Amino acid sequence: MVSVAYVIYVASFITLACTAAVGVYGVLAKRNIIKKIIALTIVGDTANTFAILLGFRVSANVMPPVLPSLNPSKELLTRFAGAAVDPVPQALVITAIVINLAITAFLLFLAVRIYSLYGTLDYGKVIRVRRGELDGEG
Amino acid sequence: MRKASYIALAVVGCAALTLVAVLGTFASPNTLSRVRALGEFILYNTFNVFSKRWWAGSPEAVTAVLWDYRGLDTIFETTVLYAAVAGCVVLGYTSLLKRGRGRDEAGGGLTVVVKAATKILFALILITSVNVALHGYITPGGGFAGGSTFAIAPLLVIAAYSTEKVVRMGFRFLSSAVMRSAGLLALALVVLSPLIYYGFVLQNQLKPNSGFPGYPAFLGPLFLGGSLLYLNFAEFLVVGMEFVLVFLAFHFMDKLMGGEGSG
Repeated sequence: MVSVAYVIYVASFITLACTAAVGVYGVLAKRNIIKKIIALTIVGDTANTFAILLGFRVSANVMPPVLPSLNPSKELLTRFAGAAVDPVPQALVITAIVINLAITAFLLFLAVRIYSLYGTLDYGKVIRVRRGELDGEG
Repeated sequence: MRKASYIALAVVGCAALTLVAVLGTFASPNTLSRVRALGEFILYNTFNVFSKRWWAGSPEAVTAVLWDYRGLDTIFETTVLYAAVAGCVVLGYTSLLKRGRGRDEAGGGLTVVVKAATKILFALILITSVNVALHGYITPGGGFAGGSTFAIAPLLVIAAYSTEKVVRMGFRFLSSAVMRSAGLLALALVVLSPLIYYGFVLQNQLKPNSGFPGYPAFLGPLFLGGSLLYLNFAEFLVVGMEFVLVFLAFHFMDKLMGGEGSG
């Protein structure tokens, strides 16, 4: 007997795989640097969600990884260890999100710099401007 | 032709990645109701008041992993954040030096309704962010979440008023940089001070073979959560101020480009 939660769990894996494929395609195929950065953030967020999902527990009495009491009994500790979701992926993802933000900000700064130097965000045009085939500020 | 090859590459790559994850996770539906052994060990020991050998003194397992069990990861992550923001600031600050200080734009911004709502939200966001950071060792949250929340407040003011307004409110380039450095110094202080007592770097609670008794988890009726409280607040300062720095640097860069100064 396959539960509804199991079906949703598998379906979210498939959805994430499709989202990651869209992001990777965007990074590879788009010529505009801003669109490349957007695709990159899609890939990053998909990877983070993927990590969180791997630490999930498909069961009826799943708990968040926060102990509900400051005076726990031994019985509560055992139940907590047996029901709460994995805290390790969540801790890694919270740092990954902040790093993602910082790296994205840095990439955007570089994109602004490229625009101010070459007058375009299309990397094909940037290459042609550097070769002298096109006017800058074009 | 090139487009088709890109699509094929993306699909095949992501399908292969998913297959690896699926083979490791979906062996049978029964294994999905369990988490990995490391996760269960941490969940059982993070606030195990009966056997404190491996405890972290925090009922919030995620914060315990972040600052205790995998603390070095977080320290190096802060280093990466510092480097990325330093790169942004250098790019923005050189623009500032070339152009000189921005002129003061009186008026402007969005309508009165948006500005009034921004004033209320600004105070609310600041209170919420400090609350999220300080309660990070009891409830979900912590330094990263609190700092990211804090960074929204000046961004809101930039959108409703202008960047000049943010600078006039006290979020200056230099003071933000000083606050960030203060946060980093506090972080280093909390991480390194167990060494004075012949303890370990990043030590939180009492551990075997260590002279350091651990940061206090309880103070009378108050629950302090060991070093996690101080580390969370230091990280809150670091993350919040680094994002303020990024917004200000972006504004100066915008000025160089001859933009409207809207950040």
